[in-house]
Amino acid sequence: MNATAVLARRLASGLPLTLTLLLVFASVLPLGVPRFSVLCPSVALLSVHYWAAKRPDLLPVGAAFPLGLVNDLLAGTPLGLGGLQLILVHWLAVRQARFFAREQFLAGWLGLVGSATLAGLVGWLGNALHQQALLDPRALLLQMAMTAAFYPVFVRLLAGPQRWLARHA
Amino acid sequence: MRSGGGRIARLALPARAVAQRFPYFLLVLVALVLLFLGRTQPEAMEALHARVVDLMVPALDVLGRPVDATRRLALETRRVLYVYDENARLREENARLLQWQDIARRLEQDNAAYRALLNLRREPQSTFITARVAGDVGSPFVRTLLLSAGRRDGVRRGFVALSGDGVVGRVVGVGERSARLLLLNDLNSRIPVVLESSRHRAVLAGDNSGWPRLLFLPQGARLVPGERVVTSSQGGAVPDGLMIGVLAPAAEGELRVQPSADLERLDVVTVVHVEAPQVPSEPLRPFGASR
Repeated sequence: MNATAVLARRLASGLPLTLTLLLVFASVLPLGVPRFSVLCPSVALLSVHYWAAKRPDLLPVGAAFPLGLVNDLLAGTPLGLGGLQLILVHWLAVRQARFFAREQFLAGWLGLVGSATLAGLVGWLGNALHQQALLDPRALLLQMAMTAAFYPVFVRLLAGPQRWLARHA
Repeated sequence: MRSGGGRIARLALPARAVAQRFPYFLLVLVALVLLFLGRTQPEAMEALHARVVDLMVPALDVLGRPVDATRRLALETRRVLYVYDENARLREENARLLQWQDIARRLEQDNAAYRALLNLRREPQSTFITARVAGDVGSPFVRTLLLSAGRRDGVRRGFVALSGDGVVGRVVGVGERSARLLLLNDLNSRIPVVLESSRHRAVLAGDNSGWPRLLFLPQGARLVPGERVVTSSQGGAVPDGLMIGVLAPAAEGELRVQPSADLERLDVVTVVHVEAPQVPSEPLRPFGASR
């Protein structure tokens, strides 16, 4: 194997984590769009779900967990809660991997809706316990709906990097 | 030394085996420990939080530059398109402000005369720190912003932040080069306020909706839509008289406070600190007594 191939392989192995981290950072940039923090789909959830199902070797749960912590640190939510949500999403996605393998798009989409619902429920409960208040779930439902709606676009966007990965890693 | 390292390796081996066999279980355990520490050691966790966010803010700054440039270009284009209308509006506003300037000068002189008469102490000094919004990092349950100014710039916990139109929130966490701002519509935001005309005192409480509520109003207080709500320095938490918003009927018919600042479109905020009023060192003289 030549040096270029080795470099490509190394880059490829870090791509899912780097891409997810960049997407998480990009999702919190102040764009001046009203209610953007609610309307913006949960990109960490989408990305972890996608990569855990497609290439769990390149985004293992040990990498998904720190992404959740980064989310918590940025949002100011209880540290560990985002990690807990992404562990759950990763676990569920790995178990749905066979649908992805057969390119069953609708099944994958439904799987994401299920994962997002459960992760949302964990987030809602965790935040409610932390703030000791019954929290209005409407904003969360809106964000989860946006996450589900954005899934087809996200899959299409990540298809290119995923194909490149299939060749190099 | 070698034996110590060997012992650690021997101990680490089973831990690694467990981690490889049950990674989900182990990470859930780590997450629960972090959540537990967040409850039991809030100060230590907050310090850790601020330190890590300090490392992230430069990355957000770099990523945000193209976004900033695009927004600035869009803004400038709009300004150029409406330059004639804007000019006419500014001329009109300038004429009106010149009249106000005359009134303000007269009032300033009156004020100085009354202060001298009452032997009032000087007004507390204000410090202003301008900070860029590095991240709109809220979530469905939290309304916060990350600022790219921190302790080294003079920002401290509890300082109030303003936009051009009024108060936007308070600083709740400070790192060396970053700070976290809790917006006034966050569920945990509490700001002492006073209704400008009726002088009723209350506490402005966010509930994650766009318009915060007023709590602890005096019984029988009559609220009038359109009345201005400003900060109250009672309790010493915030400076006096900073504009917050106006009373307006919300969707449910309840009167709430419509913030005068647009909390959804903030690029730059001014963090303000007013020094605490000094306690007089000498006893008050009876009115009319000579020095």
